[in-house]
Amino acid sequence: MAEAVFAQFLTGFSIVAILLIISLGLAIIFGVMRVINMAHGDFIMIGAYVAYVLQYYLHLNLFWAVPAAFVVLGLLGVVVEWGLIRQLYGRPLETLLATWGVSIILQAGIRLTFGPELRYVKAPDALSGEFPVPGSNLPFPYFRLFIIVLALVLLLMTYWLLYRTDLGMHVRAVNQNRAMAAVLGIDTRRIDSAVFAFGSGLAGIAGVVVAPIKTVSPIMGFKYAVDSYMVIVLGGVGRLAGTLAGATVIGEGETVLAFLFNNVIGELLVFTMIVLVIRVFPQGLFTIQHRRTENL
Amino acid sequence: MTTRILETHGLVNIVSGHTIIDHLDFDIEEGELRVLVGPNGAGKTTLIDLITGRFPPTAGQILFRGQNIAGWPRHRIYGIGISRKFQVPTVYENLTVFENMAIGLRGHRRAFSSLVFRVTSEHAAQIERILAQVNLLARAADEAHTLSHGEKQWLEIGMVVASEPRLMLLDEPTTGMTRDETNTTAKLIKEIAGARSVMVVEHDMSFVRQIANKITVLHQGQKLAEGSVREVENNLKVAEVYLGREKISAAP
Amino acid sequence: MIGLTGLSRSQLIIALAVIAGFFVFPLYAGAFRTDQLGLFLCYVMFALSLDLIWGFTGILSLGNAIYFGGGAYFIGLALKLQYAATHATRYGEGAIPDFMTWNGLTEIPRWMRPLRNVWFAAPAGVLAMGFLAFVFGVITFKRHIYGVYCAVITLAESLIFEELIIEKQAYTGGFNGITDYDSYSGSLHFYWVILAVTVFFFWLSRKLTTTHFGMVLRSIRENELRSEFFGFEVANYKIFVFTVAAMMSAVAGGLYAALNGIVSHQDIGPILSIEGVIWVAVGGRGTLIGSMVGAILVKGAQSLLSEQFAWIWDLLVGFMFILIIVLMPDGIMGALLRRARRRRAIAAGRMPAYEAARIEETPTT
Repeated sequence: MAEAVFAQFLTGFSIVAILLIISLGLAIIFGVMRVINMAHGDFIMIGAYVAYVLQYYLHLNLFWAVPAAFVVLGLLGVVVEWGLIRQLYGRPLETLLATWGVSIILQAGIRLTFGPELRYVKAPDALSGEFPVPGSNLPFPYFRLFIIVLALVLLLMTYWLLYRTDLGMHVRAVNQNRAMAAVLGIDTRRIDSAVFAFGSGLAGIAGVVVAPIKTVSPIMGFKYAVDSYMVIVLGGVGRLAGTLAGATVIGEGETVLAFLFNNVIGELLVFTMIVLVIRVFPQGLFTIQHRRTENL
Repeated sequence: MTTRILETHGLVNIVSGHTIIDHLDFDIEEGELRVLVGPNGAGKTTLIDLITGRFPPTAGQILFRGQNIAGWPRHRIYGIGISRKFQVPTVYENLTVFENMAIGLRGHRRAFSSLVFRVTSEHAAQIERILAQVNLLARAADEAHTLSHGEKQWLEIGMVVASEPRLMLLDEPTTGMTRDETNTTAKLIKEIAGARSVMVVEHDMSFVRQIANKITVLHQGQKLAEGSVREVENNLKVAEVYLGREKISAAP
Repeated sequence: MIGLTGLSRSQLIIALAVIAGFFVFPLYAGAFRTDQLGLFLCYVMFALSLDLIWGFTGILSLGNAIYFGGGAYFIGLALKLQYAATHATRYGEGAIPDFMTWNGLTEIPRWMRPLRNVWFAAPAGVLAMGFLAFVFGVITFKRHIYGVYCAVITLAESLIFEELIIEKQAYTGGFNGITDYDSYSGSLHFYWVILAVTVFFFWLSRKLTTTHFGMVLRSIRENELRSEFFGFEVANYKIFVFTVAAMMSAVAGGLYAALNGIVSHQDIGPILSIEGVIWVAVGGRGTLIGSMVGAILVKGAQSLLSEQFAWIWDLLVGFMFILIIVLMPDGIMGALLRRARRRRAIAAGRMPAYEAARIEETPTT
């Protein structure tokens, strides 16, 4: 029993990794723009279809789908940000609802193009098979290890972008005080655009790595999106550590509890825990406390 | 002998390691009109936030008529008679001026009592009297977002008056006003102040001179000086804080 | 009468005419359209409840279908149990609903037995949903969780409920839902009952929103912090209106289940929750009338169009919704009311025309 739980715990890390890739993008977007993108799950879905198209029609290795999905979804992100989110600046609830409209359109569009059937994507041959976890004889799929490594690489890359580049400094400045950043000559619109594109691109990558372990369908993204909203609620905004902590708690919690009880009870317990945590920390675990002098 | 309506003892507020209010001992007397000045970041608005329960203080006491209200919820602090105006005029934009005032009226705070509450002709008369005071009677039926910045300031002051507090905290009531409007506001505040205690936070020294008997200067969360306008203006420490200026009166 | 409704004479005449129109509709339309209109009226009540919490109080709840679906499941289950008990030839001596048998239950669980009486199930469902909303309301609003946080948390609640319904199939019929029971489909009297409840809910919503209580709700929508410093316990107001709205939704859901003859997990999930928000946004929030118009318009268009253009309906909804949000933030009724108000203001000489034009351009909230 203990070993089986440990095996679930290890598998949980790949779920955490997926959730982390999804939530990183969402957290940066929310932190900078205070916008929740309800179509984020559908961006994941589109990423999975990019992988499907590359593999099924162009017979390319899944690795190629990672940069391809990042670019495709990044461009889609630019379009959505420019065409819609910018129009609703300063009205977060309206933005949330409007992106739900985007979600409906994307799902309908994909259903019209590819049909409602489930699609399957294969993991690359190089990553098929399993290896024994050191110190035990538990098997662990190479592909899940690949997801974990990829998530860590993306996390470090995001950290580097945010904390070691000028662009990242501007992003953090806008995150902390948009008006002041604008006064100091930062082009906040360009930052918004870049941030939204980057976050959307990450969702696309998440779609690619999800595709081989889940079935690909027009409605596959929603559950992931809701989980990543919970990551934001739990982890808070403004620090990558919060996103990492939130993804870890929710990903591991749902995996292990799902094994001990079942999927739904696992989710229910994790959700209950989130609610209890935000009763103590309404801003999430890691939100930077600002000195609030403005009204509301 | 005068009694103190508000006293703070050793009041401390620390946010993310920054001390905003630093062991502040401060008091206001019953019926007094006090002006609070100080450079940006001195902690003036934070002091109002602490008194009205926006955040609990890190340490220290806030005594209102002898009762420690530090850490009380906002509605209870309102309930014992403290009402505030925000720095940026904060009114209900899509409600009419009259409706804004009706929200301000004292009483009927609980959900169930507001279900049966009716604005009677007495209430209406009270609202109209206050609206006349703040020059907004003609605008009573208009929605608040049609008001100018200065008119919104007056509306919020009117709402605070309608809530009949014992202590009124007015955060920068003349920001964005023309000279004439500022003068009217000065007159208005002096009228209001007779019946109750008022604390005004202000930058505009000519306005301060019009209304103030006693000024308190805050600096880095501490009381730097206190006294009459003349005493404070001639205080060397105060001049030093307002860097490079001869006197406080040169402050913006 | 005028005093009781708070409507002006002309408004009252219009309202009575509309009600009369709905009343006589089934006498001229077929049973199919009558049933359809009855279902729309259930959606109208659902939209009204959403308008109370979102349009008037500013709480964007993406989980309101929990209460609609909850009410529906109480009634669906009750009617199914009744059906099983009275159709011994189909369900055998045990009188157990088919989905329970399929999932290995040999008798109706003890706790579920009182639901065999629909006159117990109906009030129990409404009270249970009210209690659930009260608990969720306390959890959410007492800790100042608002805005997008509130939206995504209620969304997650709705999703979890839908998954629970699918998971606990022995008690809920699972993915297929509860079907095959005696519904009130085709009953003229039941349609009139639904109409009467709808009118009552409209009257109740109007009462709630036109009293001082309603004004406080709007003040919370406009600026909740300002209201707190004016001594209102904002959380209590929110919990109160959230609970009332949930009970309205539960009634609507129960009537829906009784008329529709099928209850499924979709009736409790996020899709319906958000669909309701779309109706209210399209019709115009904070107007009551707007939410009702929106529900009938969108649902009506859906049933008319999707009979022929099912494949493109979703695309249409998506684009229409985005356009409304961006270009008509007050919705259809909101825009009409704004125009009327502007005309009145100019006529009364309270506002110069250019000022009024500016107002028309300024979106609310």
